[in-house]
Amino acid sequence: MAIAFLAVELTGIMPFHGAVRARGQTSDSAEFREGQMFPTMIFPYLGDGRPGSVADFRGKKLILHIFASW
Amino acid sequence: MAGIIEEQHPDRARLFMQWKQMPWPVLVDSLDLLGVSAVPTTLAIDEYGVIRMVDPEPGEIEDKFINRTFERPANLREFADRVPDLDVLKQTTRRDAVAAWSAYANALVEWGGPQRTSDAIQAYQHALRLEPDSGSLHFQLGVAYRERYDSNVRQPEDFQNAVEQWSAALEINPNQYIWRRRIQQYGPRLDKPYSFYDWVITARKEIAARGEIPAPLSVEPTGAEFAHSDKSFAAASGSVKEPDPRGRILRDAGQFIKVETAVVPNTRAQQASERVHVVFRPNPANKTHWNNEAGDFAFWVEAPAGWDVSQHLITVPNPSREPSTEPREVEFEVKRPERSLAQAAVLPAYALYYVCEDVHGVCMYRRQEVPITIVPRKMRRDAGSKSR
Repeated sequence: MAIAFLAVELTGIMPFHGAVRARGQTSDSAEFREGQMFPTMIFPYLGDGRPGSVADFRGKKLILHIFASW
Repeated sequence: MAGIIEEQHPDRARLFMQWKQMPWPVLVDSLDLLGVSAVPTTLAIDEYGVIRMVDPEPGEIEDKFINRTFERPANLREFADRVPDLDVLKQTTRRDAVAAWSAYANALVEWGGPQRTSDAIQAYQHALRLEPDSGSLHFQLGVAYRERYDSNVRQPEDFQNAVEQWSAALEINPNQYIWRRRIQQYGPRLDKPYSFYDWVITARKEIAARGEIPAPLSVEPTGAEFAHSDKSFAAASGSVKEPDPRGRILRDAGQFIKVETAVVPNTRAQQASERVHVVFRPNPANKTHWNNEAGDFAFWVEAPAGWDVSQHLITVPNPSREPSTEPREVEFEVKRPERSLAQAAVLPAYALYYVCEDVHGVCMYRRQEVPITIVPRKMRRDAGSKSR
């Protein structure tokens, strides 16, 4: 069930309002490649501003969505 | 599930997530330190921090990610979230290296608070003197300028400087869509791919209808951010009556109302439209306030021969009868003739308003001249390179 929920949720966010990338278009940035470590950079958390990073989720499998609300 | 947002005003994403009921933790990357050039991007990251899938199809996540076992990398290092020590980073700039100045500047923006934004701007400028062709440094300097513009330590030119820096960044890398969108957010309708923040109105209504309080926004979206894209320029009708054609209203030379202008270009060089932002701020030095018992604020702009403007007359209704000191903003768009793509022009414009000096002081009706200078991108860029 958890997996199904995850898939449904991911499907729901794909057509984000104002998505820059059209379906089928590849990113010209090529910043992220399979097999690479995700950069351990520190950013403020939305809301309380405390420092955090994607490394906070180590030990769990993570779906990371990089987006903008526009 | 977690997120990273690439946005100038992160609290807008918080409102969006409240509206869409997305309860994930989200990190803020307004400076685009990740170097993302397009959004959205979705990554499947394993328990060791290794990217296993980029933009996966939802149907393949279960087999290729959830149910798979991944090996621990041999060189996996522990990582602790610590705010960078600004004093230590400042000391590293003694080596006068670009990386040191940019790390210091980025940390000042992210962790120094609004009062350190001016230090961040200076640090970016120093880094850019060492590496003038760094698009990311131009972009990040633009973010810092806009952050200062939105703070209580704003300088009048901050917004225009932000636009100039974002434009410089995009000149260096025209394929960077995060940078392009940052300009288009404030730019003309011909250049917009969509409305950036029209959803805010609907979101607030629907959140309130659920009985919740919508997350507050520190900076409300303005006209350009609500505006929708357009395929052709809608020029103003010439039949609108000018409010003070003979210039008989007494002038305010800026002692009562301070004016800031910013001209946001079209990111496509072949399109000759710009969006003009003009902000009017009561001067706190003499406690000026709007006299809201009198008529509405009015702004008039003329187009030189062959040019078009989207509106000649813009009025801003008084919010109530009580005196107020809020900034008042007008926005309009300009389209230059094709033959004038490389020419600068000055559009005659003025504002008419009712203001009072001090709380119980003299109230008056005043006109302020607000000439709008439109400078083509190439001329601005050449002027910028000469001044470096």
